[in-house]
Amino acid sequence: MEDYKYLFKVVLVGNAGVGKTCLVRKFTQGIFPPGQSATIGVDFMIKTVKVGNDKIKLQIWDTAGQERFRSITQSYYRSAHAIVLVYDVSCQPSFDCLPEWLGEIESYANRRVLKILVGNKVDKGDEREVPERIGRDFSDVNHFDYFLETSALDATNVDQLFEQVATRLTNDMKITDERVHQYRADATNTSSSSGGPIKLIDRAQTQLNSCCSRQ
Amino acid sequence: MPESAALHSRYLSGVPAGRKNGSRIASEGKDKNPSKEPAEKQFDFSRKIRELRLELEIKKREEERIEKDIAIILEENTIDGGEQNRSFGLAVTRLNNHMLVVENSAKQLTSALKNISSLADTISGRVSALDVAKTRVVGCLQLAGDMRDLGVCAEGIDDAIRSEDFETASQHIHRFLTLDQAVFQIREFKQKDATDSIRHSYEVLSSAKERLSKILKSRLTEAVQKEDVAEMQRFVKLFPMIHESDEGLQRYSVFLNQKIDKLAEDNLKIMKAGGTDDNRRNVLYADTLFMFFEGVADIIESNLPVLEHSYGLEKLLDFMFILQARIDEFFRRLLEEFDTRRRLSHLNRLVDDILHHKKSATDHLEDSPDPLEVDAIASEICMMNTSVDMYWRFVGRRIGKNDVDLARSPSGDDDEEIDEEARLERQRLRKEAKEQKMDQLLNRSRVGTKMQELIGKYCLLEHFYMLKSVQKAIKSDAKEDVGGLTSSVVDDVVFIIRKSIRRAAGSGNVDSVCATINNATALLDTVVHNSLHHNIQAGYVTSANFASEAFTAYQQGKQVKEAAESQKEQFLLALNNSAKLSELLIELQKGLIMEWSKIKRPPVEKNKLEHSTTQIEESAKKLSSLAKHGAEELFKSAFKNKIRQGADPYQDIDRQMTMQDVEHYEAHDPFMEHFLAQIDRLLVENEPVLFPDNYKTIVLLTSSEIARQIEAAIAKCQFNRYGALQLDREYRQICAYLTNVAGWSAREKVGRLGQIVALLNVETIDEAMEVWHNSKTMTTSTTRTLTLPEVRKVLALRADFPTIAIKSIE
Repeated sequence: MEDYKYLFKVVLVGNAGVGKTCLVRKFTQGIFPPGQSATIGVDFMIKTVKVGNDKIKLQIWDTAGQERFRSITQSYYRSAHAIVLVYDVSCQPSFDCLPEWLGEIESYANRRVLKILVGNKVDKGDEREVPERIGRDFSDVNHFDYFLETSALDATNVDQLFEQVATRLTNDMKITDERVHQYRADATNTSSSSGGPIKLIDRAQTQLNSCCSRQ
Repeated sequence: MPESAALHSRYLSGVPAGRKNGSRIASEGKDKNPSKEPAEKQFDFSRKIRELRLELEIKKREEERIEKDIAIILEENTIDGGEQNRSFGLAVTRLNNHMLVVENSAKQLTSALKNISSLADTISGRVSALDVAKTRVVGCLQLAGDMRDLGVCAEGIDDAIRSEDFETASQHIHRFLTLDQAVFQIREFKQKDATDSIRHSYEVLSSAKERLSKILKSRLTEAVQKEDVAEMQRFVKLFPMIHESDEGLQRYSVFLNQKIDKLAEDNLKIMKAGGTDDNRRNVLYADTLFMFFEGVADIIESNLPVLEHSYGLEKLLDFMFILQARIDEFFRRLLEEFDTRRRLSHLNRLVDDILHHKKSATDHLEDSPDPLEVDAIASEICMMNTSVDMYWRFVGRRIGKNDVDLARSPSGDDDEEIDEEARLERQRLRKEAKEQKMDQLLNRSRVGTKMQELIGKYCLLEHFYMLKSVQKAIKSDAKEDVGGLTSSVVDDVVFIIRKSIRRAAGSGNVDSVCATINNATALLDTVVHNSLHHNIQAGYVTSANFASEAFTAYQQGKQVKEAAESQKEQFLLALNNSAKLSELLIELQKGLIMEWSKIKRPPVEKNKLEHSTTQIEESAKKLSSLAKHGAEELFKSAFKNKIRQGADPYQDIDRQMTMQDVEHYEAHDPFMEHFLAQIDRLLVENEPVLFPDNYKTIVLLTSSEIARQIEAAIAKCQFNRYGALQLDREYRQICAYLTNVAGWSAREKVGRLGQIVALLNVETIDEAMEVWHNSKTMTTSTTRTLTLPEVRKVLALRADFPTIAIKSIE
């Protein structure tokens, strides 16, 4: 059961009613729950996906969008590996709130977190209020790592969204792993040649520590 | 059967006419048989027919035999043929006559069978007609009964109402309302007066229902006004009978709402007066809430059975909604008071600013909230949530307990006709609707949403409390006893975190627990980690780096020696604290899991908690790697150089030895004993000041360093067989010592050295290759096998091995 290679924390945020819970349910259980009522606090799901030959476990924290849960949801930012910010393409106000959410992400989340912007409910067709180009521009300007339009109702891009999250996080993690190995190798090399370059090891160690304890 | 039929036709051709009929009867009988069977199961001909057939078969064989006999006789008697022929002709005529008789009998049998079958048909027809008649009669009886009931109801109703026997009256109306509608549709009755009487009864009852409903309403309202509980309960029971449940509930809830309002008023009055117990003043609002919900639960508990019996459970949930409005109102007033008295909003704003650095902390130093005050309020909010939670559970238990009843009670009549699947489906839908309603009540009522808001505020306060307490613990850190390895900050930090997480768990709200764990681990990873990291990074002072340290100390105007000593102490303390804290956090995590495993929760919540607690483990791992890093630092400044210096003389020993040298060294150890004693002194010196985990790290680092130094020294020597023998002895000394000090894990660190020693201790190169190949299969994961170039290098150290041979090995 527990033979996964990496475990990642994915946190979904965004205004109430943009369809966060439906996205997660569609992805984890393959169902679109009609008449889904507002989430209370934080919902939690686990799903294992495959990236290449590696099993990746995604821990998905689906937060409530309503203001009164804000202090609870804020506590999840810091340890998140990826934050998925969702808005509703058929609801301009949910898009207008994005800067506010971005502010939260910047002040609480770790700097290297994977940021993903999602415009949900593209199935609404004529009711669309936010054109795809506007969403994409916003994502570019604000340095999101990825932008995607989805529909939990007809399953457009839902799997792709989470696969992207898993793939990108796995690749990042692999690079970090390699770098750590490189540091280790450097450290042993320099130490065997003894004496002088102790400071180099120190620096490597400090860097290593600061990557581990993302502050 | 067809086989025997074929047999017949074969044998019967050219046989007298009577035979043919016989076969026809037989086949006719066979055809009849199945058609008759369903009509009359009592008469079973098949056995008889089988017997007849058997007999026929016997007769046939007999005939064959006779024919043969006749042929023989004829042949024998052709000579005196005339006489014989005549008698034969007579016999044949006789036989023919017999056959005619048989044919007649068979015909009779056929007609008899036909007769029987038609009789059976008639009987079954009669029976089904009777059945129809019976159902009609039952229907008529029912209708007649209904009509009679109607009559009785119509007659009795006025009397009942007049004599204030409302129970009977309601029963009449109930009967009237549940009567089959067919009764009222009888119009074309032959006796006109019958229809008239029905119409009359209908009118009487309809108007009676109106009257009764009016009376009941006014009586109930009156009773509510007079607060006459017995009357109320008497009347409220009657409303479902006249199909006006909602009216009844509405009026009854007025009464209960009055009671709730009074309860609310009383509790608020006590609360405003400051409560009854001065000792509980800091949980006054939580206590008030608790008392109020106890009271409400009491009211519901004492009134619900009446309603449950006559209204059914489904209506109860609606009833709870009506009551909820009043409870919401009380909660609003309580919170208002709570907010102003405890300055919650104000506190919350300050805490939010400080936690999220919205304003510089210095601006607010004077009005920064007192952690003790925050602590008290946090506890109080948790208690409030516990009360609310308790009440919800009470409602859930009270309303949700009889799920089965719920499925059965409201429309039990048509249940029989609907198959199981549809019933289950309906049950599921009803359950879903109920769950939705419960969710509406629990999570979306004002009490629900306000409590969620309050819990959000609590999380902030708890975060603030942890932050301030941890900061204070770091500031007032002190080594409690002189011999101790760690200081107060470790226990304090764990205590604070445990207290906060436990408090959150006590509130019953899982999300607040997760948030608190998130915030706690954030503190561990930042504030606590940084303070330890800072002290470790400052480094460990030894005579080697003393000069530079002394210079800094001098610049800062401190006593040089004192500064060095204190920094050394700080370093060791931080190192040991990290290791201990890591250990305690793992313990804390396990403890929490144990504690929570006993509580029943939905699986999602269990999952949430489980995954949240892993963060504590992650923080512990970070601290443990910090400790390891610190131990490495310590090793570098206090051990590494000494080991290297100690190993220096080793390479000076001449390894081209004689037998005598080896024997001499056995008694007078040239190096190793002294070297190990030196190391032992180092370790012994440091063991008491190091936390066990850290000491272990140091020992392992020491082992590796010994191996590295000895290996480096070996590389500078030239061995012969005896020199290698001496080396082997020394390697064993090292192994024995390390195993003694640190167990097998230390042995692994010198595994590579062991391989080198083994390679050198061979007679020939071939033997060396064998040793190498063997080591390949035996190595554990932690020690790497020597590579081929390395093997060549090692073997080159044996002065007595030819260089060319070494180069050519593969």
